[in-house]
Amino acid sequence: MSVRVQQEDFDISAEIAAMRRGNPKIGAIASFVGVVRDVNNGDSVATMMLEHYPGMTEKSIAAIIDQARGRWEVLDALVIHRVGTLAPTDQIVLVIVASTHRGDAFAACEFIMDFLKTQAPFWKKEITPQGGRWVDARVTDHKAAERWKNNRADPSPPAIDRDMPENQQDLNPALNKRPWWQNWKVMLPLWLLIGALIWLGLHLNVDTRVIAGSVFVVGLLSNAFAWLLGIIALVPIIGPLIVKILSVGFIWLLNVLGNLMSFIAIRRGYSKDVLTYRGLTIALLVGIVIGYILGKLI
Amino acid sequence: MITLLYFARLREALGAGSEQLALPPTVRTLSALRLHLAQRGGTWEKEMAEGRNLRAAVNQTVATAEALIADGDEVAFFPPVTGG
Repeated sequence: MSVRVQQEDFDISAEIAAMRRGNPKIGAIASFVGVVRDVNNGDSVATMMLEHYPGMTEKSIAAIIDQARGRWEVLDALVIHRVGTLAPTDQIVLVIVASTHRGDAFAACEFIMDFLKTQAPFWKKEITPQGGRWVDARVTDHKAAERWKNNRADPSPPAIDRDMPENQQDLNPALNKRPWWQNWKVMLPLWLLIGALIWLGLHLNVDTRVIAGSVFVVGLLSNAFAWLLGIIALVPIIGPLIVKILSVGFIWLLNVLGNLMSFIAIRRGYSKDVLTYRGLTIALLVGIVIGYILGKLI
Repeated sequence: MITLLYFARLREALGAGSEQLALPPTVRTLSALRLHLAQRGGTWEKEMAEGRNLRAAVNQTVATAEALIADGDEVAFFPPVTGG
């Protein structure tokens, strides 16, 4: 851990090389370089004068690094801040953080920079053709530092699995969020396959109940019905209506129809058969529920 | 005696970067010191006025208005920082 306040320029590659040297535990290095801009509030900046509070500057930056070490795994850290006269395109500040994994390195580097901006006693004075002007503190800088207050673990950046090797982690988890069964490239061939099998079954005179049952089970297990409903819902006006009837009341509709049929059948003296088929219906419904749960889990 | 330091815009406005001050017995806190300096009048009154957005440090650590001040301390006044 080191802090340097200096007039001279710095060489980021030399500093990183020095940090890496002889430390085989380092797996990730994050760095930030601040550069003097040419334009600030409309006027062109000729040069920039940087004043600081010798003694307190080093102490406050060291304290910020200590805070970062308390939050993340920081193997080494370096902050270099230049003072004196600087011109546009000049490097002004350097932060390097070394850690085992990139998540900690990124977060600690940003944290150190955010707090350096609001706590370290540096003051910029722009020397423009119109004369000198002290730079005002920015509200956005304070907001940047504020957001680290509440979240100990991670402020907005996504949590990264530390135990996973770097190259096995998804670069962008958001890209992989969509479940596979919402992908038409998978579902369309599946439905074509189901259609072909139904056709084949009918051709070979297989019992239609077996075909219907199989399609039902396969459809539920593979989420094919959910996908089909999604496709139907895309049809303008009539689509969402069909889906509403199919999805909301589907099981209940079957049950009501079943009850009605049972009622009529018992009235006509088929009570034994009704019991048998009601038993089968319950078995089927339990199967549907289990299939649905499995489908959601898979 | 305490050491007083002024930085940046404040240093330029006051025309002084540092001074030694014999701490009056009534001045025990940072806010009392600020008031004491403002009572010098003129630029001091204007720059040290309560409405001015000033920060302060006691012995090189950022301090609030209630911070206690004792003989031998190093006290700094400065505008909000703008480094990085």
